[in-house]
Amino acid sequence: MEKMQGLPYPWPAHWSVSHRGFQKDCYIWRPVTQYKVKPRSEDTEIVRSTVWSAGPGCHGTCGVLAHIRKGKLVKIEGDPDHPWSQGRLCARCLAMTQYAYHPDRLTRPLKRKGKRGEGKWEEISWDEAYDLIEERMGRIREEYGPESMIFSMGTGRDISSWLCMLAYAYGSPNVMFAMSGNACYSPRIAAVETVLGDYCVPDAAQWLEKRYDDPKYRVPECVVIWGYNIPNTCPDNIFGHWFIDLMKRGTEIICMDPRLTWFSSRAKHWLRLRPGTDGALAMGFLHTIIHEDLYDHAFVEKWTNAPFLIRTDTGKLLRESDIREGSSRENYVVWDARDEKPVVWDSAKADYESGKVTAALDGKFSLNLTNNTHIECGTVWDAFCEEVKKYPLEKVEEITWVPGEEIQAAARFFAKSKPASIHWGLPIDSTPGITPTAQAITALWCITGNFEVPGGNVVARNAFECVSYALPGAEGVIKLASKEEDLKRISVDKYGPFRKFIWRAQTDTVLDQIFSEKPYPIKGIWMQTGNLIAGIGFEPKKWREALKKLDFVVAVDLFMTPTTQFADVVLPAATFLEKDSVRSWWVPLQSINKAMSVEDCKPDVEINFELAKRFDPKLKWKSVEGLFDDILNNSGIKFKELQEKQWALPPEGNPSAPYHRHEKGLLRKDGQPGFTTPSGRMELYSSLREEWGLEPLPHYEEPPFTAISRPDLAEKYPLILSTGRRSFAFFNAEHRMIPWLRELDPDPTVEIHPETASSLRISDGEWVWVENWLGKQKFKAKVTIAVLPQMVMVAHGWWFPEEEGAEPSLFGAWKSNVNQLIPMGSQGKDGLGSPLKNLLCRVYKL
Amino acid sequence: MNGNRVSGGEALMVFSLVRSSDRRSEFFTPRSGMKNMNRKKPEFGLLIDYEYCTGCHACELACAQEYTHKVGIRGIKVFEVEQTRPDGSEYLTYFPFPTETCLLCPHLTREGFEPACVKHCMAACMKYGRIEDLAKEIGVKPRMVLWVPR
Repeated sequence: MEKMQGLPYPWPAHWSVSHRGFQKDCYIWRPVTQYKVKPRSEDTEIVRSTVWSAGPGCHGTCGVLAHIRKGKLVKIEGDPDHPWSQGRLCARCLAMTQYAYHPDRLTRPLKRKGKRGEGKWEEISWDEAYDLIEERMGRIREEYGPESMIFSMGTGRDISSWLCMLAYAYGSPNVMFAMSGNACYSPRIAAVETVLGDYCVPDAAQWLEKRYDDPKYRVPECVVIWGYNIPNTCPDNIFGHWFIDLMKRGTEIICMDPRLTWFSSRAKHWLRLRPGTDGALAMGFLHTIIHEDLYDHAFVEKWTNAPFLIRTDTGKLLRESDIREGSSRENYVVWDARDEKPVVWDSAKADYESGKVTAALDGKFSLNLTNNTHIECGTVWDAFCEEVKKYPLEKVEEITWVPGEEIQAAARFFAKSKPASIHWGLPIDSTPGITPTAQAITALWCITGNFEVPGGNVVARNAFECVSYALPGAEGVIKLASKEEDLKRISVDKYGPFRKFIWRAQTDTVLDQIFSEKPYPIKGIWMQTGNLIAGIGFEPKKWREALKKLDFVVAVDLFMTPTTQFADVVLPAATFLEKDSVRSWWVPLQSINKAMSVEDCKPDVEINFELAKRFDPKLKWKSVEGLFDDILNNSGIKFKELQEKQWALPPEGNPSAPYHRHEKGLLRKDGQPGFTTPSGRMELYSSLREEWGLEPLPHYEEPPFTAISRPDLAEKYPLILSTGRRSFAFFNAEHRMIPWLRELDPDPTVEIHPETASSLRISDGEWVWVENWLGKQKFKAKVTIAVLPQMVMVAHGWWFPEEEGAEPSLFGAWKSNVNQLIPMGSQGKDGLGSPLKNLLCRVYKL
Repeated sequence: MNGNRVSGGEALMVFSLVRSSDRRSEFFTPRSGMKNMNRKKPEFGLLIDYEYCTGCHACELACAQEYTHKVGIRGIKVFEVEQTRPDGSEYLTYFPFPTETCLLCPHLTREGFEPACVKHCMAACMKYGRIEDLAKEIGVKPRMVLWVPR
């Protein structure tokens, strides 16, 4: 058995990428299958593809080999030649044979008979369905305008692109990610882009052909796993088990998690914090790192806006237009310590006005404004350190429940490890204070010199900058016909991040508008890839009323769910094996290849394309393939070519491949070194947040429903209600009907600590009520040391496909649905975040 | 046998066959004890590093798919073991266990492929091979186990 580089013991050869044959100078992988595949039988064809959804449900990227016999899937296995997953495949994907041919799978378009929720349907043909939708949606557009139609998604996956295509062809800017506060991933992306211009991910060599064996790569000494239980799910284009690969190669883990998980048991430092206090912990880390001088001075001086001057009279950034008549408001001012005078920083050029400047990082300086008033200025660095000083270890210990020495030890270890990276998860989004929390964590990887280095946190852009699904900050070929149409987008006037980065209608605002009808009424909804009632909608009874109120509801799904019961038309969608599609998020660029078809199910892209053509006869693309080719334009590869080559990695020098792009001028459009922020520097003090009237510096905000912020509620509901933990068997609200998966995790559980359970006289396996001010639901107690004694962790996404689908049962959606206990409308001041992991409840026997 | 009459020796053979015939199938491994220790010895096993098993259950599904097992039947099962040490610290172990149903995928291994579970293990913590080869690797680090299911 071959020894893998750096490992002390030999492991299966097919885990090593380095011995594979590939063309060295070409970043297009040639599918050399050195690993023999054993087909099930003589007449079985093997089709290579890559995963997205539907099927496993996830955000995919894994390479698969589908064994197809006579047009039917007989076996699926991982593709060992794929650099991303190297032949590995999770439980959800391995259950594809049960998913694709499930007897409950929707196979024909359905039209509602009877009332909404009665569960009575008649099968119609695709043409009839299209005609009906065209007519009804056309009528809404005529009478009320296209903006009164909402296009709603859950975890959009590749289908978000086609949803946007349909919405924009119809003329509506209102694409909605149906979660309160949009509190899944987008807030983090928007927050990092607010201060850095681009989103960052931990570098696990995913941009390199040879992966960890590439000489450019450095295995991180330390990875901070901030609120992630990766083995259960591979979120957001990160293959969870890469971190296990790295741990085998020596990486140590710092884990922030209130629960005992695989990572927290094996972490060098496990910070077991109170749910919702991640912001305070991040500030605590910054406190230690700055006070013990463990930060990278060079990065702070050269690449952040630390030297920029802040007026002490207004507390805002000093602009060039303040001190010089008729100049730009977009430029900032620093104090040259050597020449003892103010120097202007030209944001457009991302450089100082004049030559070499020794910018002062601290001190107070006197200046005259244009009207000859005398003012004093401090620096951003001073203001930043002032803010950080408010979080000494004793205070952070009090807030987070983590002992001060542990925070200090972990912060020192992180700061001294070179390289180190931070990988973060949903707990960061699960608080209305998400943006200042994310700002603090972004500052951590920047000031410790781990930005854009091998093994650190690197900028993530769509491969080759081909954008199909426009994540926050990205703009692709699928867009509205004009900027004017975007002005009607719901909430675009209310929230800064939604104007600047997130091209969505803010969810809580949409729900309110459905009922208030102000500023304009909402008349219809198109739902695709989401389950509002059982999955993504909080206070689902409100969503049920909303759906019942609308004139026209279309649902596209693979199974009947509690949500599709309220539709007027239900369209059967295809799994990832039944469609062609493109993926560029983040890397590699790859194609999803159609391997088979099931009954009358259609891929989402085809459904949406047909209707997009009908709503916009002048649609830009003539065929689905033409659409794919347009998306792939920046890479110079056509779709058919990509299907043959399977995947492509952007070469070094491409703006979508690391490292050191801020130094090489690869991040900015003008090619200047720097960032795509308003100032061109990493903004420790955010100019955008200042513009939006929000606190510009990172800080901690106590979530709205905790024992500290709401002691009145905590008296009645003393336990912390947390939810959203991942199950290895399911993807959110999916897969409850797949037998092999359901048997792994058969019941909706509430994890209770043994001490708490015994004080409540609850035994393991007993069904209990979990109740708060919004209602109560039944869950099965799992007595475990995995949770803190003061908290319970409730499994989410539960409904029961084996039960009656029509109302009032609605597949058991009102029995064990934790969403009933989570409030809508608790988003942050910037429209982002939701406190779903730090609410309050009480638990008692049935 | 001729007709309905059975000789003494044959009767003994038939009797022993009848006793266990209801359990005789490829999934059946006879009980081992002093009397049958000279029977064919096991040759192959599964070496598992349970420090790195992350409890993803991919092995269970891979096996179920390979053999199209009915629900409730698995060739390998992953157990979650929560542990508290005497100093109060906690640890979570995931522990794969090949069951009575495990055949070690002979239809794959005789052609040079790995058993389905080993191939799909997300943490790359399983190895299949001859017992004497795997025995050399056990003890390279703590938290390893060598299973010989049949």
